Amino acid sequence: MTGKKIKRNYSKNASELRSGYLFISPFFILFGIFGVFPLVFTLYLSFHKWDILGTTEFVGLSNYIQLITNDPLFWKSVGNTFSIWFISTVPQLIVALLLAFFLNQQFLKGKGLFRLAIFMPNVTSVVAVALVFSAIFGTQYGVVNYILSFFGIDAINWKGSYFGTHIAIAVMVMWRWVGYNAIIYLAGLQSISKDLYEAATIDGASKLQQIIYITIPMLRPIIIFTVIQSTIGGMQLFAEPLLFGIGGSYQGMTMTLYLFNEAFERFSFGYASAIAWMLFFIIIIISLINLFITRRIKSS
Amino acid sequence: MIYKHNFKKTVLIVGCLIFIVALSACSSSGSSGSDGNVKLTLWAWPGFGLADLAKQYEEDHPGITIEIQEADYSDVHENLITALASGSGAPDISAVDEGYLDRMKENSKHFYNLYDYGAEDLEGEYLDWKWDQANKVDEDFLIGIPTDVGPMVMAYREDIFEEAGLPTDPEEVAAEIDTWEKYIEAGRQVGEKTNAKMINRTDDLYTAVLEQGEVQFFDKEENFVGEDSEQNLKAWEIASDATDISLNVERSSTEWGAALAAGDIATVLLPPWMMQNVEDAAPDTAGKWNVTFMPEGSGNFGGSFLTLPEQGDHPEEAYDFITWVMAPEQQLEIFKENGPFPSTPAVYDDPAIKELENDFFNNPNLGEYYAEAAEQVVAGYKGVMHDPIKSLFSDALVSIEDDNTTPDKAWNNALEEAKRQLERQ
Repeated sequence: MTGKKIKRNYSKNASELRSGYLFISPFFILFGIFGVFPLVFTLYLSFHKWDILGTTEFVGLSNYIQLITNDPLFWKSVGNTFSIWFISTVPQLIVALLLAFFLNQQFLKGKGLFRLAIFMPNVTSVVAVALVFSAIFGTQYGVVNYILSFFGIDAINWKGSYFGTHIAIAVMVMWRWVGYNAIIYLAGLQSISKDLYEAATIDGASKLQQIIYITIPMLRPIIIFTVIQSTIGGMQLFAEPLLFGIGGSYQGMTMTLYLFNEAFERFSFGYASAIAWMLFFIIIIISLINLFITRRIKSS
Repeated sequence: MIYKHNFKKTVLIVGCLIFIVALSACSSSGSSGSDGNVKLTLWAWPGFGLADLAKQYEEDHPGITIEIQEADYSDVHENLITALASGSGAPDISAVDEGYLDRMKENSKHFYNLYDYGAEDLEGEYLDWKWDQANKVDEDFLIGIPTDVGPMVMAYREDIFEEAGLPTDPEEVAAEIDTWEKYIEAGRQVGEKTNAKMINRTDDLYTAVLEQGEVQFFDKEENFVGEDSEQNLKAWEIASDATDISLNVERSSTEWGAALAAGDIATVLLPPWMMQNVEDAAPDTAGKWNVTFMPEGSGNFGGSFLTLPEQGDHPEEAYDFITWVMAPEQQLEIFKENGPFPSTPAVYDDPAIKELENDFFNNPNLGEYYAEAAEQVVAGYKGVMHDPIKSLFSDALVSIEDDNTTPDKAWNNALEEAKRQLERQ
């Protein structure tokens, strides 16, 4: 009843309507300045040549045509991004799930401490992480190669090979995000009713069967959430490869890093804007695929 | 009634918010108070050593305050370019490195021409090649006052050279290794007889050779000549042939420090400002190093200029300060305080430079070597896109060392990519 009254009051008075818009205007003003304007300006720039200090020159679609037909480095960066995303996300989520499952066990003591410990990497500065991992994955003097040498494995050129660089960056990403995902999974696990497990135990199901037939199906929405989150993060991968080093063959160059270099090293802002819009389309395609798969999982 | 009251409040709040946004969007640079006080802002990255001199200047010139704002090397340049492009926010004085200088010269309308303030009287005080760098090619326009220079010399490990059967006396080393071919030969000797490698990575060899040439990637009309430039071809040939004498470790990385400390690198081709990096990375190797000339003369690596962006309101005061602080005596002061190497040859005979001794680099004539190297430098023309293009070739060399490609393929790739990037400029 009261709700209806207020509604009627608002529609009556035009000045109140105005005050309503005024209340929400700070967001829209800020969003307009920092959200919409750059977006539109980027679109405008992508049809121009502009070195930021000089004049702009209209070039039509040529930035896009160059980017698609005559820029192997861009496509290499797309490939690198997907490769690093894949080898960091898949093991990351599996490990996170196992960790969450372990942390959820009855027998475990000091759970709070463990939870805090696995979440810590996530709040560590990415610069510090990258510096430490660069030292760990050093080719000549790194710890990893030193340990590998005990097993008779030849030194791996972490900074100089596609395989090495992708793995090293993926490990960095994993280290930072496994704990975060594990905590999310843990929350999901705790919302699963214990009755289900009890019933399964009575029916003689093993622990493994319980995971496969109870835990994972019940966690599905949460798994979907983490997959989407990791995809967004993976497409925007920037600081880790920048600090680790992209290598002489540009094997660590990701899409956002390429965009940054184009804008702030070569000062081709028009071309960089075209890259930004290409990223936009690539991410839309990925999102559509994501949506398609999630729908199928949901309905199955 | 209540609603109306709130409405006024809302307007006030929204108004305040807009005001705050507007304030944060445009910050004003150097301002002058009503009492004639002038505040000059100066942008630089760490290592210029200007703080003490600025204080001294403030004391001698009541009414002038100098605010030095430091940021990272690349941040200073990116912020400056953004401020120039947007028309506000630039400082009164900004340091610009030689790597960005040609881009700024190309857009000289954003800067004061220092010749308008009497800079032609100062020409003789600075190294000719350094002064030329600050001049526009086709115009009477001086964009900045030179700060430091980075003449390169060769630091080498005496103990490793001795073990390899090479001379250890600086003069003998310079006489024996006087061409890059001989440098590579000596490097192979080091590789055979010791556990060390001659150099950290071939791209640093490439830089050193390239910096010895007058024409590098661009001619003075800004045409790309990378595939015909003799110096570029030579530098590439030498560097791509030197993979066997290189350790393949990036300069200034953590691994570089480890390699220096372990005695795995026999030579470093370095300008004065890099001495400190070597010392910091491997303090325990003190006294094992000596310094001599690089083969085939010196080259310049780094060095900056102080410029006056046209947005500043006090060009005269700013000009007075930069010409004072970069005058020979003050540059010498900076150098004495462990700062960069002066660009003013008049002080090269000063005992502070001549008798520069350093426990780390075991050479009683260290300063003389640098001073002579500084006068040997032939500064090549750089061009707006020099740095991005150079990094393509350097990276190509690294990809050869990583065994990801062959020298011919790497060269063609780098050349193609260079042309592609220039085309979309």
